[in-house]
Amino acid sequence: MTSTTSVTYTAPSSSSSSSSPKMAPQRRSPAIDNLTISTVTSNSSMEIDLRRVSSMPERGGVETVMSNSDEEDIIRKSQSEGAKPLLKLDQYGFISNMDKDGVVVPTTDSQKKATTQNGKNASTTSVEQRRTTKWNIMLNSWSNVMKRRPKLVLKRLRKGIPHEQRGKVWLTLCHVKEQQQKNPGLYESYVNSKESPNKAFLTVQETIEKDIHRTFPRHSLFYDDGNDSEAEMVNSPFGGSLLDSPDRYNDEETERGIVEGQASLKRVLKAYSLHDPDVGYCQGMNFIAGMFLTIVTEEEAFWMLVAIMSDQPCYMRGLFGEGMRETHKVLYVAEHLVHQFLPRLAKHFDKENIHVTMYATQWLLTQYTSSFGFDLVLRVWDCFLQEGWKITYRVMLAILQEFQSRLLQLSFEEILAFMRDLPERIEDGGKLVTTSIHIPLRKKHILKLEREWLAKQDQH
Amino acid sequence: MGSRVDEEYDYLFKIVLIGDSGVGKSNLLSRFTRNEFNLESKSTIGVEFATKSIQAEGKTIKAQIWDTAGQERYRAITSAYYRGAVGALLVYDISKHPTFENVERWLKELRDHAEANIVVMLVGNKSDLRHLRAVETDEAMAFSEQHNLAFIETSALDASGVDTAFQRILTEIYRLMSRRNMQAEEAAAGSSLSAGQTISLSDGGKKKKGCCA
Ligand SMILES: Nc1nc2c(ncn2[C@@H]2O[C@H](COP(=O)(O)OP(=O)(O)OP(=O)(O)O)[C@@H](O)[C@H]2O)c(=O)[nH]1
Ligand SMILES: [Mg+2]
Repeated sequence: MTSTTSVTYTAPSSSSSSSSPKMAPQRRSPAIDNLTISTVTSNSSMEIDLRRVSSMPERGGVETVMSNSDEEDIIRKSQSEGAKPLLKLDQYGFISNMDKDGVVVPTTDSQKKATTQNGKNASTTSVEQRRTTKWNIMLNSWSNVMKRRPKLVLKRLRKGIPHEQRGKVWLTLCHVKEQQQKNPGLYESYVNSKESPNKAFLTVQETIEKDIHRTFPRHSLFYDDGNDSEAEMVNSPFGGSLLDSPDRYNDEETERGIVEGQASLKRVLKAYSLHDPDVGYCQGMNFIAGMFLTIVTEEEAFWMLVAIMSDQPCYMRGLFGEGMRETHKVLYVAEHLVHQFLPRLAKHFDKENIHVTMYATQWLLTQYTSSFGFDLVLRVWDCFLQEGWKITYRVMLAILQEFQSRLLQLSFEEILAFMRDLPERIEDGGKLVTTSIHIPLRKKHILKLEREWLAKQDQH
Repeated sequence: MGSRVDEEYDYLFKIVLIGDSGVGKSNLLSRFTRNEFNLESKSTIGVEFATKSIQAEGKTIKAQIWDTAGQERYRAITSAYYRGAVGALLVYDISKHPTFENVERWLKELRDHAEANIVVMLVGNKSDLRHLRAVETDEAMAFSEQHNLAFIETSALDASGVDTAFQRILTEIYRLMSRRNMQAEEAAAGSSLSAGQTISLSDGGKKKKGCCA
């Protein structure tokens, strides 16, 4: 995530009118979340209503709206006197002016940066524009293009979908509209279901609950600016603010105490657990669903989750179900691919007793969503939705290749420490994905290893 | 990392952190090894790893700590890491009684997958949440006595008890081991373990005394 675009302000009236009508209206409204932040300009503090539209594919996610400070309903009490710094968002909606401890720090140079950025981007924009046009044409005759020129589609997916069209393309790739038409009201019914709360169901909901505030807390959609000021708590871990508001995160009954994006995530995961009770909920799914929510609407995110879990080419539910059987398969394939494509590194890892499960489990299980920058993540998913696991393995190999010379010099502990910080070391995630495409990994390599693994299972 | 030079150590002990999801295992680890606490820490997917050295009875003991995912189904992946562990911190959340009830199941998990003589310490974390306490200290103490476990309450948030917990389990492992060594020495007339020998048996425990980055 190299580029930082500062937020743009438009009149409040224009914020939600352009949103797509696909969404059930009852669910739609809570997807618009108000966040008030105040900033200090010269000596007067001003309130800014950050009206976050959780998911607007056409607009690429986050929109910010400035309003008058007299919209009292959206002004949160804790902020009316204190001056909280303005949130600065990157192009994917992550808060870029947040420090290591989750504290939003003031930015004084935001305007300056924005202008230089614009100047720099002038040449790349025309490329972007051309690609946008191409995608528009393709989307307009999708089934035709898919039938006649699947290679072209794949080639363009591998170059990355322009962010504004990403949602639309993803929904098309996952056949979300068809699913919604076939199953009208199904999502709603899951969300509203008051199932007889058996033990398994409750365990699932509790686990979901635990992960809700642990999913992308640095994204504006999920950021909890905290009536109870989380920032303060982090600032002074010994302070009492956490202790004074015990029920803040433990609210089983209502959705009070969590921000709207978190509430959406909770509903999507709950709905999925009801839709596929054998899988229910497995930690890791939260990052995938959360990432979807930054691109598409709530119900769409649910249907995308359904698609990637149970349809080819992604078919992830085998990884997440009880026993996590396919996770073992994927890790087996990954380990052998490292040996095949990076033999020198594999030898070093063997010598140091580094096994793929130690570093790549979360990369593969969450398709990079849990710890990598979205410049990499979204590019992976552009391909993953169409071609499946090949891109996943390729990117793993590309990452290892990128840092191979470093890794070769490190010992066991150093390697694991390096791996922990590795996501932050990637300067240009998009470029890395582009590089990965050239790794001569073929589908047959993967199939062969999968068969091998299967044969081993049968022996046991 | 290249800049961080490993210190010398006399013993290397492999420890696992286990317990339900959300009880604070990852934060106990980051508090102990890096003195960091994170309210927004992600759930652990698979395993994570960190090390730290401490002094005990004049020896430098290096702890190689494996932090595991708490959700039940992840045991299919994490239980492989119990192998070779000489100690386990079994963590529950003092503000959530079910996490304490599950301790029995975690003990069974250790019996099934870990070494028979692994040293287990029961850790009641989040002791800072006083007004939310759901597991009384006495109750946990009684349980630990009954099951022959060491016991301590900690808070990864305010750091209380965290160093003590690790210090105590490592010291206990060291004592047990030197006692065993002594017995072994008596039996084998001195042809046995000595300082500098790696105690952790498996994964990466090959590092020898004085080896640096
Ligand atoms: N109040 C308080 N909160 C804590 C303490 N330790 C951890 N937490 C919080 O509890 C939540 C879960 O902590 P983690 O360390 O991620 O829990 P975990 O056991 O590693 O969870 P899994 O990785 O899912 O198994 C986080 O929000 C932490 O900030 C503590 O001592 N006191
Ligand atoms: Mg953890």
